[in-house]
Amino acid sequence: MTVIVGLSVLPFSSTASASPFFSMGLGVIFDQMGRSANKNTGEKGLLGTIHPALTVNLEWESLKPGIAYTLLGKTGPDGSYKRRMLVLSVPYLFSLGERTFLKVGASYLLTFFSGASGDVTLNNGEGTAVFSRPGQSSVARNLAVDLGISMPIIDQTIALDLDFHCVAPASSRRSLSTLVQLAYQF
Amino acid sequence: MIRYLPVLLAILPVSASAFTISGSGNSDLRGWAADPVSFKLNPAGCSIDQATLEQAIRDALSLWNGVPTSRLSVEYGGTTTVSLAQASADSVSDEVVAQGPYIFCSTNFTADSGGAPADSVPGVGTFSSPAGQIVHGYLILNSTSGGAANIAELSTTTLSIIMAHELGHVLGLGHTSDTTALMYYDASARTKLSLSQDDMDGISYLYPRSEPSGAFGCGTLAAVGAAGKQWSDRNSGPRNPPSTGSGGAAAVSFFVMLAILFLATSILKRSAKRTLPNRLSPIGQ
Repeated sequence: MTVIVGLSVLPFSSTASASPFFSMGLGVIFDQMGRSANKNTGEKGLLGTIHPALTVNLEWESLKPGIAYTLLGKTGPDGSYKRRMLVLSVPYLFSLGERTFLKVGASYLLTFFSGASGDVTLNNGEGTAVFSRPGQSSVARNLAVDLGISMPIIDQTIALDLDFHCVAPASSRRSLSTLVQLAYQF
Repeated sequence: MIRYLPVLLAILPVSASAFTISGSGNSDLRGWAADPVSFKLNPAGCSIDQATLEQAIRDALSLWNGVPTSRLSVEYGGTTTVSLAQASADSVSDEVVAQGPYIFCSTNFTADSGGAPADSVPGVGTFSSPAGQIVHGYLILNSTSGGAANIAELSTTTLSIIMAHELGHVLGLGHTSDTTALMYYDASARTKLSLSQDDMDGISYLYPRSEPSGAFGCGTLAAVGAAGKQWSDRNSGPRNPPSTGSGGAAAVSFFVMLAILFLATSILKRSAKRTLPNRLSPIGQ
């Protein structure tokens, strides 16, 4: 499962905004939570792969489309490849109380891989062997169903958003990514 | 918000991932064109019973089938009588290529694997990609009598781990410097059959998933770099159309979805405005 958690600065109002406005923030994406091994024994970690992300949101009517992009990406220690993520989401807002919303919607998760090309020598059984670094770019695209919550945490201008993105909920490829974002309303 | 920056910086990822592609000079390699990739087993010479071996194969294949960002589909295609000698011949027949990839056991592992020690290496995997795309491959399991790394000496979990690692090679992946990865060269510390993020990134790079299926091409690799060669220049085999790698189609999809949601919202709100006075009027009177 893939879960994206983001912390963003968001607009607050007791009801969704009638006129559109933007918010920007910083977030953290916990990608494919609980799926990947993080120890040499093969045991899996709970948080998955962690990506800091920049977030931009638009609130209009009862919708709050947003973008989260991992600007820095993840790079291997030898620079062999870089992994970036772009999350496009369109949640519908249901008011739960003053400035607090339940978010239900859909999202599109794009994972970008870009390689540095060239060869690298690594251990191979009793000796070493030459392997190839990836030399092309590749994009994995996943649709996800979303569930989240948005709530004010500081004054009237900063909001905390927690969004769960579930990819392939009915298949063996199911994953959960969580975006936690803290956003500021402009 | 400044106060939160140290927290965010503290959890910046420290990556140890660095998957590779098997073999040298294979930076532009594409994976198998076949979908699904169907592995056949020749059980001749195997030092463990066929049922145990088949279960290990299924467990290993299931692992690679479960990567969310990958379209890869692999399956167990049953047994075959094609031999290692036939599959490894210099001029392998088209019929043998078409039936593969294969899983073999070898009682003379060091010779059959090209020199891998039978006391420390339980398996090897290889493939051929004459036009930059994998068309033929097989893995050899160590069944050498007296060999310390004979698969008969392995637990069922370790056998599945070894099987999954070698399948990774046949699918195109090389070793990695990430010690948490299945594709790390040394599996002696590994007790769980699992993939690291590095493994999943590697298989997703070779076989990227593209949803919704068919709407934006088939999620294959796009050529980049200074060479600037066109995909068609390098590809003579069957393949799916390349993706742009830009995410442009994804953005179009996103905005279409957005427009539909806005439209639905507007319709719902207008409907509510029309019906609300009627429902309230009896009370108001």
